[in-house]
Parts: sequence; structure tokens; C-alpha cells
Amino acid sequence: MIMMPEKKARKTWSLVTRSSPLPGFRLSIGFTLSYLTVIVLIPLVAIIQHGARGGFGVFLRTVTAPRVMASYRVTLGSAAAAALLSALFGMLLAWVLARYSFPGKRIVDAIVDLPFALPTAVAGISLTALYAENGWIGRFLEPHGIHVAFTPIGIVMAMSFVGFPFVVRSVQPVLEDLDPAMEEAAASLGANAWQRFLRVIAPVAFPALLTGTALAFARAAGEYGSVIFIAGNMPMKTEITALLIVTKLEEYDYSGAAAIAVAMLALSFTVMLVVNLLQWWVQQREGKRQ
Amino acid sequence: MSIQVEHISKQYGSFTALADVSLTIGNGELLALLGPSGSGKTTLLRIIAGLESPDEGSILLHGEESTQHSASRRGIGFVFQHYALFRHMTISENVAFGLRVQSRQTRPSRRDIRERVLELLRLVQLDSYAKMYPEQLSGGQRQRVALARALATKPRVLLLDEPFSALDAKVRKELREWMRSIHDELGVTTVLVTHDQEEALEVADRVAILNRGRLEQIGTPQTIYDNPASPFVYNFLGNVNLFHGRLLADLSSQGRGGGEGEANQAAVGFVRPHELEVSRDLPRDGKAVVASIVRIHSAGPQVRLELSIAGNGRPVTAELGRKRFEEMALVPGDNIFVWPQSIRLFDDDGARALLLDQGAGI
Amino acid sequence: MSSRFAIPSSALLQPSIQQRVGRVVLITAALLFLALFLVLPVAAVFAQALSQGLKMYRDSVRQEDVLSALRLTGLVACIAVPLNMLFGIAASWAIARFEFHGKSLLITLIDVPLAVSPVVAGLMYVEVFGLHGWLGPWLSEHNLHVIFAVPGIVLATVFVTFPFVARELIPFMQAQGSDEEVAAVVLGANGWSVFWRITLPNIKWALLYGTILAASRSIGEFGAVSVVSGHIRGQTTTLPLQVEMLYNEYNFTAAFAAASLLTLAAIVTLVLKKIIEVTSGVHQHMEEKEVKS
Repeated sequence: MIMMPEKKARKTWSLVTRSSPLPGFRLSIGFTLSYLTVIVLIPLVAIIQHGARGGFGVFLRTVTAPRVMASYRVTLGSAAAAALLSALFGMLLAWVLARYSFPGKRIVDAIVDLPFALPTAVAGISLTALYAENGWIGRFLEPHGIHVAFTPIGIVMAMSFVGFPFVVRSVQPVLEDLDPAMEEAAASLGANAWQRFLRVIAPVAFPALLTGTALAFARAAGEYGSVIFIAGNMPMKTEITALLIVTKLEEYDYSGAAAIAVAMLALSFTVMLVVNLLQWWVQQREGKRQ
Repeated sequence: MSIQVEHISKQYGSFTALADVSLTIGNGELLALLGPSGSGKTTLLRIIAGLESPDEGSILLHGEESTQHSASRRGIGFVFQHYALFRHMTISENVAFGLRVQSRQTRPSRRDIRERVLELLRLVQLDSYAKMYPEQLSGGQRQRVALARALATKPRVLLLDEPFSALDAKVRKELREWMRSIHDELGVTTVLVTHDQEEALEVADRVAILNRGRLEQIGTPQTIYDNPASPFVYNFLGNVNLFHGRLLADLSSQGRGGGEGEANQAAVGFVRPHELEVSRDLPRDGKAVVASIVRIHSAGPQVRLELSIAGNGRPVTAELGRKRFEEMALVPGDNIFVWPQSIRLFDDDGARALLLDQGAGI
Repeated sequence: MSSRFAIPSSALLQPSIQQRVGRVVLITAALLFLALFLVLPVAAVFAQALSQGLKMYRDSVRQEDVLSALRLTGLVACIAVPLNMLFGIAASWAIARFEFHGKSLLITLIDVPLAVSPVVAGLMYVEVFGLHGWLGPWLSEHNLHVIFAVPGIVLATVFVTFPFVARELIPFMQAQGSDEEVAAVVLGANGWSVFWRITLPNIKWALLYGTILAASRSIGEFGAVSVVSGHIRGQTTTLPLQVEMLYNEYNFTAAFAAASLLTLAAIVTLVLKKIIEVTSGVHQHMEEKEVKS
């Protein structure tokens, strides 16, 4: 028998970490990367570069101007309230859809996606029509002094409208995938219904609830179309940051618009980071990563 | 604690899962519920546990009517086929669960809980895994944790739903022996559901065989293997050869034990492969059949002969020890004499008949 | 075989009266919320659109501006959606079938449009293709218009909709596994054969589902398109922009009439999605699957 001399393996870096018999890697990754570069990376770099033009000091002054700060208060405050509302109703819907059966359930399940499918402008004008003084809902609220249209409350309503499906679609699959045997095990060990919910169901559903709420928040903070009709758009009072950007554009203040846009991007990326961290934490907790 | 199952029936829509099943499980006994898929054994176990409710009948735990009690009230321990460990809790948190959810009055102190958890983990030999998550353990280890968790609250009854069927064959064997030894040590009444007859026969004090929602037979492993009450039981527990024929004479007149059956009645004879005698010579009473050897399976502790009966080509399987096999120097194609050492006859519908000693009536 | 059938978990263990009442309360609350929050707005759209009669409705919809907005919306969707399908297929092939460095980063990049405000998205393209943008001078020289013209609208739409197909296909293909494709390669098929004969038939429903999502979003996109379009009536207004214009001119009936077309499209989207979910098992929720024991 011939003994082959041992070859020392040379370590070379390659993009692919595990070879595969399937073809088409180069083509698919090449196309994907080019697409992303043109559609995402270059425009991102362009706007960041413009927004940061003139130095950090100028940038900071622009994004902390009084009117801008007011828009942050309005936008983030409303988005936070909307996220909480979304969490509440989203959780309710996810629970009902995941665990109960009732007539018309399929239709209900489909309707939850309506805010995803409906153009934001349509949502905007119809919500305004509903909550205006003589609107179907507004006419019941106005006499009691509850003004929704053209107030921050209206903004919160519109933001909740577009946000709650995120919570439902985050939590629902987790609840559905819950192993019934786990609940039965808990019952066999003596846990009552409340204990089962608190100790077995909630810990599993909570990260998904957090993720969904974070996504709802991000969407609400960036929302434009559904909000601008009902908001009233008064500077310092009911002007959201996205609208402020558009206003600056119309005034040809491109740099100002870009700077504020960069600030909004920072927020978006922070939320994305938070969501990713959440998901990493869950996997860590379940021992999937060491 | 003893368990009484009385006239339990359960239907799912038009499917009958259990039909009037009654049995008693003695205190400290290990009973196996054995049967094929759909036989109702898991349903019965879950009804005993309180995870399902019967349409009719009642369950008595230690003489106490428990049919309406929810699973959390029955003081049972349940081990699931796929472990059902709480994946977001560590191993020790899993085991401690049953103790932690007890009401204030009965709940042990935190220290006591910790000690008990440690004690149980030592019992199942997983104490070094206490801080790990279920995901990080193998299947066999997870099932041991599930067992420890079920035992933590000192249940009066331990119920296991096909606990080893999701595991490798070797792990299965080890775990079943180990489970038996734990049962012996703790003395807790145990009910085990399985479709693996080897497992049931090896481990249980008594075995209850279910088929299509009915209790076919209940008895010690020895009893049901040697004296199966019906063709189903016979067939389910090991290999069998079937001989269809007619009774030559009224069996009771022949003085054979427990015989019924008139002359000329159609009957089916059941003979186990190891109960078939093979020889190159005719037996003393001359009652034998000629068969030719089709194939020989000689790997393993016994040698299995696939035979074909001369005249009608009926396939028959015989088993014999290696020594005997080598003495006879059999090869495929050889013609030999075959007769049953003992045979069990059932009439065509499967009702009982009797036990014969020599090959009469073939 | 477990003799357990598909019982909703909350039904186990003989629900007490308390639990039964609780269930009814929760379901009612959920349905009430949905009715108030979702059904009413949709109803309001149609109510307002038809408030001045069917004839007025028809006339509003047949106005030239609305029709050209409709055409533009359709055109943009017909370009953006196939492009994004292509991207989705390429990206999911790379991500679901190969292991490589930077895969998570790639996936994160694909999620970017979902986190970014549409107005910011539109502005990003103005920064590249606008008059004062990176390519601005070059484009003016060659008399090419991107911003305030159709190409800009297409680009902005592509940006906000490209994740949808990819995000449907990637988990789907990951779950399916590559066994069939590997088997085909072993049997001697080349890349395109494998793709056309094995991959495509297997992913067709997930692909369709993602395409519907992408199409629905392209039709409805407002913020990003608003920034890049310049709102030139008859030329660069898509239907959602047209709705805004009519509304701001206090022409409510016409605005809602146009909005009703978009709402119908949204409803059709939801119906198609549900049909695909139910018949093909794509994206399906547990209760519609057979319970395997």
C-alpha cells in the first residue's frame, strides 16, 4: 500500500464557508450585491454624506433646532403611545387568533393585514373622515370634548392603525407554535391556568411581543401618508418629523432636510439593532447559542 | 395508590377511541398498556391523567372518584413522548417547577426545593447539567430530566406516554431498564403506554393489551405470552404460523384441556416458530407434514428456516437452536418433516378453542 | 399515533365556566376592536365616495387625471415588481442554499427599507439622482430626468418593495432544504435546469405570495413617491398622489372615489393572500395545517 505524504493544509480565506454542489452562487450573490449597492448602499451613503456636510457642529445645530425638537416630541411621543396601544390590541388579537376558533376566523385573520395592504394615503383620508367633527366616530367624541382630528391623539390613532399588525404577526406564530404538551406538562405538575400563562406561555411570547412592539414603533415614527391628513400639521404642535423634511425640501433647504433625514435614519438603525439583539438574546436563553 | 378504570368510553366524532374499558391497577404496580396505533392506549392514559375527559365511565384514584378532577388536582406525574420540557427554563428550573407552583401552604422553602431538585438530578445522573437548557441535551438526557421533573412532587401515580419511542434503540433499552429500577426503588404506581411488545413484556408487572378501543387481555407477561386469549393477542406478541383446517373430531372427547368445538368445525391453528419441530425422520406417531426448505437465516442466536409445505406450497417459518441445526446439516432444497409441539386452535371467528400437545388435527 | 386531534390548547382540561366566559369576552373585544379600527375606515371610504351618487362616482373615476394616475401606477408596478421578483429569487438562492461570510449582514441590508421612513427613502434618491445630487450634473448634461420623472418613481418604489419577495422566499427555501436540487445536480442537470425544473415549481406559491405583497405595496406607496415625483399632474402623479391632490383641493368625493379604487385593490390583495395561504400551505398558521401526531 502506498502511503501518501501528509500535506499541510494551507489556510486561504474564501467567501464561501462550506462548499456546496449547487451551482449559481457567483451569479446570485453578484446580482444580489449589485442590486443592493445601487438601490440601498449608494443612496444611503449619499444622504448621510450630505447630511453630515459642514461638520458635526452644523449637523447638530440643524437637528436640534426648536422646531425640529418639537417634531421629535410629537413624533416619538405619539409613536411610543401608538406602540403601546398596538402592543395591547395586537396581543389581544394574536391570542384570540392563535388559541380560539370561532366563525369567520379566517376573515378576521385576513383583515389584520389590511394596514399592510392599504395605501397610507387612503388610510390617512379615511381616518380623518372618521374622526373629524362630523365623522362617524368624531360626532360621538366631540360633544365630550374629545378632539381627535388635528390633534396629537389623531396622530396616535393613525400610527396605531399602521402599527398593530406588526405586533399581531410577531406574536401569533409564537403562540401557535407553542407545544400543547408543555402546557399539559405544567398542568400535570399542578399549575393552574394563571400559573400556566405566567410561567410557561408569557416567557415564550414576551420576546416576540417586544419585537413586534419595536417594529410597530419604528413604523409609526417614520409614517407619513396616514398621519399627515389627520395631524393638522401645525409646527411645534402637531408636525411630525417626516413632514418637516418634506417642508424643508419645498423650501429648497436640502441640507436641512438631509440632516434631519440622517437623524431619522439613526433612529431606524437603532431600532433594527434592538430587534436583532432581542432575537439574539432569545436564542441565547434557549441555549441555541453558547 | 391504586387506580380503578371503570367502563371508560371515549369517542372522537365517529371514531371510537375507547369502548367500555375496565381494569384495576394495584398500588405500586407497573402496568404496561400495549397495543398498535389507534388502539386507544394513549387516550386511556390521558383520561387517567385528567388531560382528556371520558364520555362514559369513571376513574377512581385510591378509591376516590376523580373523573371530574382536573389534571392539576390529581397528584399525578406525566412523562410525554417528546419530553415537553420548558425550553426557556434551565434543567433545574424545569425540575423545580412542580414544587414552585404549589400553593403557599404546601410549598416547600426555597432551600428545600433546591435540595430536592439536586437529589432528583442525582437520581437521574444529570446533576452536572443543572444550569443548562433542554436544547443542549440529548434526547435520552431530556427524557431523564422529564422523569425527574415528574417525580419532583412525589406523585402517587406515574404515567408515561411512549416515553422512549423517540430515542435510538440502544438508548431505549438502557432507559427502560433504568426506569424499571427507579420504579422498584420508589415503589410508585406506574402506567406505561407503549407499542413495543418487547418493552412491555420485559419491564411490566402486568400487561394490558388494547385493540381498537377494547381491552383484549390483561395479565402477567408470562401469562399473555403463553396463553393468549385471542388471535389478535397471539399475533401481536411475536411471530406466528397459521394453519387453516377442520377439526377432525370433537375435541372434548379427546380429553384435551379446556376444549370446545365440534367435529368438522372450521378452525385456525396458531403455532409459534419455535414450537415447530423439524426432523429428517418421521415422528413416532407418524403425524407430520413434509416441507421443503426455501431459505435459511442463520445469523443470530436462533436459526430461522423458511419452509414451503409440500402439496400446497404454504409458507411456514420454523425456529431452532444452532446446535440442532448444525447436527442436521440442513441446506436449502432439503425436504424435512414438520410438526407442532403445541398448537392453539381458534375457530374461524377467533373465539377460544383449546391447547393441544401433539400434532393432531393438521 | 397520538389520539389527540386538533384541539385549541385553551380547550384542554375541561374549561371551567370562568374560562368559557373569559374566552367569549376576549373574542368579542378583539372583534370590536377590529370593527372599529379597520372595518369602519374601509366603509368610510366607500361611503364618502358614493355620497353624491353613483353617477358622480363614475365620473370622478373616469377623469383624465385619475386615469393617467392609474396608468402610471400600473406602469410603475409592472416594472418594479418583476425586478424585485428577480432580486428575491437571486437573494434567496444565495442565502438559503449557501453558507458564506457576511450572510447576516446581507439579510440585515435587505431589511433596511422596512425600517426606514418612506420620506427618507425618497430623499435618498434625490440625493443621488436629483439636480444637486451625485449624478445630477451628468444626468442634466445628457438630458435624462430621473427625479420629478417616471424613472425616479420606479426607483423609489423598487426601494420600498424589494424586501417583500426575498423575505417570503428565504425562510421558505430554508425550510424546504436543498435535497431535491442536489439530487438533480447529481443526476447531471446543469444550473438552469435545476432552477427551472426543480426550484421554481417548488417555490412557486411562496413566490406568488411575495409578489402579491410587493405588488400591493408598489401600488400603494405614497411617502417615497411623493418626495421624488414633483407632483406634476398627468405626468408624475401616481394614484395615491392623485388622492392627496384631490383631497387638498377639497374635492372630497373625487378623492375618495380614487381612494376606493385603491381600497378595492387592497381587498383583492387580502383575498388572494388568504386563498394562497389556505390552498397551498405557504405561510400557513397552525390551525389550518393537519395536526401530525
